[in-house]
Amino acid sequence: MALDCLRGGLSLRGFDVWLEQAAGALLTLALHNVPNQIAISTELIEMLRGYPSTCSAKAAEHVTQLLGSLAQDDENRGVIAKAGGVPELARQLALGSEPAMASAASGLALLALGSRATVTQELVKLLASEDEAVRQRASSALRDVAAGEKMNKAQRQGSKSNSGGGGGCAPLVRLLQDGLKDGNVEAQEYAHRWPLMASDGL
Amino acid sequence: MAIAESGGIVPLVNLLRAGGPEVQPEVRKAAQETAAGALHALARAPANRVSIADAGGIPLLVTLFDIADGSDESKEQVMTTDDF
Repeated sequence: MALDCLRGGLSLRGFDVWLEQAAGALLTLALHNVPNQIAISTELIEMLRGYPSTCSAKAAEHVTQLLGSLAQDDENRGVIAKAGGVPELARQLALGSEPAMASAASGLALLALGSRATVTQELVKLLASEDEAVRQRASSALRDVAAGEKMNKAQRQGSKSNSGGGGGCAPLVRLLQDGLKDGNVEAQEYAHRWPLMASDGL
Repeated sequence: MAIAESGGIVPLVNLLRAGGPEVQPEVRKAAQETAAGALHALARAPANRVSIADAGGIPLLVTLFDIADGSDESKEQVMTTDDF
């Protein structure tokens, strides 16, 4: 059975074979059906909230991956964000298993196309983590967010593209990366300044 | 479509619960996989998406993610899903 299914490349790669059907059913139920999108996102995020006490690491991994797959469809991004998906994906980025971290990072990058300020705030919070690995993952996710934003802008502007010096997240990411190299001082300072700058940019 | 028109969605959703504690885990898992596959196929028709949701399919499908890893904790949750 093909693991890639549904329109536009929504992907079920990495699911256990028997869960593939359940994941496929949920992705299909969400197509062009707002009440279902809300119900599915709410149920999945509620399950993630239980991690690690009532939701196992493996379940969190699957749910995070499914949220990432749902976020590939722009219809679902706002719904996932409104249902509280951003902080939960950020939590998986910080605390989840390796596959969950990877799914969370790509999911957040997709959600950022619709809710950049919210996603960036959560990622910037993680940059203040005492765990070096978490800071690195947050930095990497921010880079993905910036890249996604840049691609989005380029698509909107056609061949004109970004000649105006980048703007948006790119300088932030450079600053944060430099901050990490210098011992994370600037990164932490930026965490306080970002919300104002993000709202200016939107 | 014939399955939906014949009232097949509700029994398929019920199959996700897959019986009581006397049901063997392998049998339960096979039944749930079959039901999820059938619901996946049926969900391709927009009208069935509403019927599956109305029958309570969404929380049951989501619950499968938590009972799929085979841990003792998850096996307990298989029992819990019987109470739906």
